[in-house]
Formats: sequence, C-alpha cells, structure tokens
Amino acid sequence: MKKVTDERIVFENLKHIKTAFLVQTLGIVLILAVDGARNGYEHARSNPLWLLVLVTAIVLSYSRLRTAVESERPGRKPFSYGKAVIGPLAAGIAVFAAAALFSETSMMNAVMLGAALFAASLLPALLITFYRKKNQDEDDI
Amino acid sequence: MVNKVKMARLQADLTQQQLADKTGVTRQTISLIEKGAYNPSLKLCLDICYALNRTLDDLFWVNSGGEKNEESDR
Repeated sequence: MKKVTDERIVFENLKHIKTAFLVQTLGIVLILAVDGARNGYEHARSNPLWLLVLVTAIVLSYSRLRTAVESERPGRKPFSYGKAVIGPLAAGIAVFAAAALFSETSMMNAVMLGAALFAASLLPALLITFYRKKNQDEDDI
Repeated sequence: MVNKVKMARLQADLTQQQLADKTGVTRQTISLIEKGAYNPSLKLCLDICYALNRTLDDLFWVNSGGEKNEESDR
C-alpha cells in the first residue's frame, strides 16, 4: 500500500482513528458494565478488558501531560526536582496515616497504600517538572 | 482561506492533477485549497509556491481585514 503523504488525508485519517477509538472505548465500557451487572463488580474487574481500559487511560494521561504543561499560564516558575518530590511524598504519607489511623486495615497494607500512591504520583510530578524546565529553557530571553 | 492558487496554476498552464503530483498531495486537496475550503500547512503553501514559481505573498497573503493583497493583484 502506498504511503499517504497528503497532509489533509493524514488529518482525516487521524479523525477516523479518534472516532474508532471512541466507539471501541464505549464498547469496552459497555461490555464491562454488562459483565458487572450480571456477575458483580469483582468479576468485571477480573476481566482483561478492565486492565486494557486502565492501561489506555494511563497512556492517554501521560501523553496529555506535555500539552497540559504547555497550556499553563506563562511565567510560572518550575520547581526543582527535589521540591517536586514533596507533593507525592506528602500525599503518600497522608494516605498512609489515614489508612493506619481511621481504618481497620493492617499496618503493612497502610504502608503499601501510601507507597503505591507515592510511586504512582512521583513519575507525573517529575515529568511535569521536566516539561516545565524544558519549556522555560526554550523561552525567548 | 482566500488565495490565488487557481489563477497562478492556470497561468502556469498546469492542471490540478499536475500541481498535486508536484506537491505530493491529491487532486482533491488542491481543489479544496483553491476553493478556500482547506487551509494548507505552511510547508504545503511553500511547496505550492515552489511548484508555481511564486512567493507566499503572491498566493496566500491576506490583509488583516480578510481582503486580498491589493498590490499583488495588480
């Protein structure tokens, strides 16, 4: 098949992919909803499609980080990488403390919960800092 | 977007297909650009200018009010 070089057709194809992605996502969510309604929430969560939805959402969110940083109000100074760790660390400690103090879960589970939140929010925080620093470096003097 | 691609193409004695082949797009894209129904990228604008041996001003300049460049019309 000949490679498409026409920019208009490339854009049109991207629009078609967007529509197909929307239909596919709605279909998967519908399948999971039906599965959940028939067999319960836990059964729906054990479906591989659930993992697919989660991975897709994560990939999409990470892809959007760059554009989200670019559309921020200009003149915002980026934190240092050290300061960027403080937010996720505080969130992890807060969740650990809440789980340890206010729920009946074990201390080990509370630590795991806090560590998971810290790990999950650390990468986005570092990426945002990286993009902000990169944008600042690209700014006119 | 208003432009003078059609006029320049006819003056260069090219068909839409020939201009499309020179710029690496389809005939439909050239047709839509001539009708003002598709805004080409700067790269495609330049490719069209090179193919027709014209400048960007000649083919695509539009004054801020939306009127075509009067000087290049003359």
